[in-house]
Amino acid sequence: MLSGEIVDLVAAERAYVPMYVKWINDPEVTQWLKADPPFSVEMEHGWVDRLRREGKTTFTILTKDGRPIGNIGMEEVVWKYRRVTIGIMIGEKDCWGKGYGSDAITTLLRYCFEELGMRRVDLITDSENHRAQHAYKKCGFRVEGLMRQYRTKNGRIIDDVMMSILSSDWFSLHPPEGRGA
Amino acid sequence: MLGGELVGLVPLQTTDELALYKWLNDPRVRKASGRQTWKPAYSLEQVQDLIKERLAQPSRFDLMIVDRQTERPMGLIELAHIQPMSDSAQITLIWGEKGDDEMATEALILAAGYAFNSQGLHRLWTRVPAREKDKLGLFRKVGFEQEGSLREDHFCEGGWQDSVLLSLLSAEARPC
Repeated sequence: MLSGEIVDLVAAERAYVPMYVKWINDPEVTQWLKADPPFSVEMEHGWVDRLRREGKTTFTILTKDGRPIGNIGMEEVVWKYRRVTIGIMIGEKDCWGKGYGSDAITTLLRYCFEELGMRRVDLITDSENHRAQHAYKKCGFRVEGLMRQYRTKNGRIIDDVMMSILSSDWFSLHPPEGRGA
Repeated sequence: MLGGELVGLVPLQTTDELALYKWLNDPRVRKASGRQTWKPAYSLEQVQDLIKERLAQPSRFDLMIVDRQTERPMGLIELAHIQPMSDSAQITLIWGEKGDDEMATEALILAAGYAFNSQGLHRLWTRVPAREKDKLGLFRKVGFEQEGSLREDHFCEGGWQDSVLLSLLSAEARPC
């Protein structure tokens, strides 16, 4: 488990599948995501089993009282370059805009930079998802560029934004001595 | 059970999944291990897989440490990389619960006795993160000698960290 200020990150598992199905089939939740619903319970069980088989690091985000509210994951890890691509979804809509996503990202970044020694963490997001970009910037991400007509969703051609944070960015925001290390 | 005054050692079983689930997901226990392959979070299904994999490996033997008074599982001793040709194995102590040093010391003495007297091993070695002073003290108390250091062999707390290599030979082991 990784422990943040207001969330904990635990392993994705079958016990949470009913929540995953609810979130991933909600058009408001998936509006900005790559995922295209519908998804069945069996498909989500298959997804959890695949994560387990392939050793992928995907977490379910829990509030401190144990309520599952979303997922965050290390989607692609390239050890050779110490680079990782992450993705996040807050599925419980009443938890939007309350800092849970930012805390989950900060917790995962701390793990990536301080425990794994990653050099770079990146993500891509819909260019029109300004709220998410604002939240990522607050966590230390910078916009690197626009990926023009990168994908389509619901008949719309989408430009994605590539954002990243480097180890040097992280440690300038979170100096080790300031954290009592 | 390998019984001492304070603790007993019993072979790891599939029924130990909940204790392992708790320890594997405890950031304090993960950091103390200095083991980069330790995932940041484990699902119950992953813990079940891990126990099955361990039980299927002939070159390792995992022993649960149990508090004799309360019968509560306290930690795990791993005997891994058991090499019949050199009669050696790696020993690792994973202390999952809050307990006193006396219990951990006794667990190590029992495990070393088992390795040397029952399994016929000649040498036990371990790797301990240099910053884990208490754990280093435990191994030294049991008689382990420092052999060297692995410079910057793992990443933790924002930087590369050293580990210490220690070993114990059968002739040096304290009696159980």
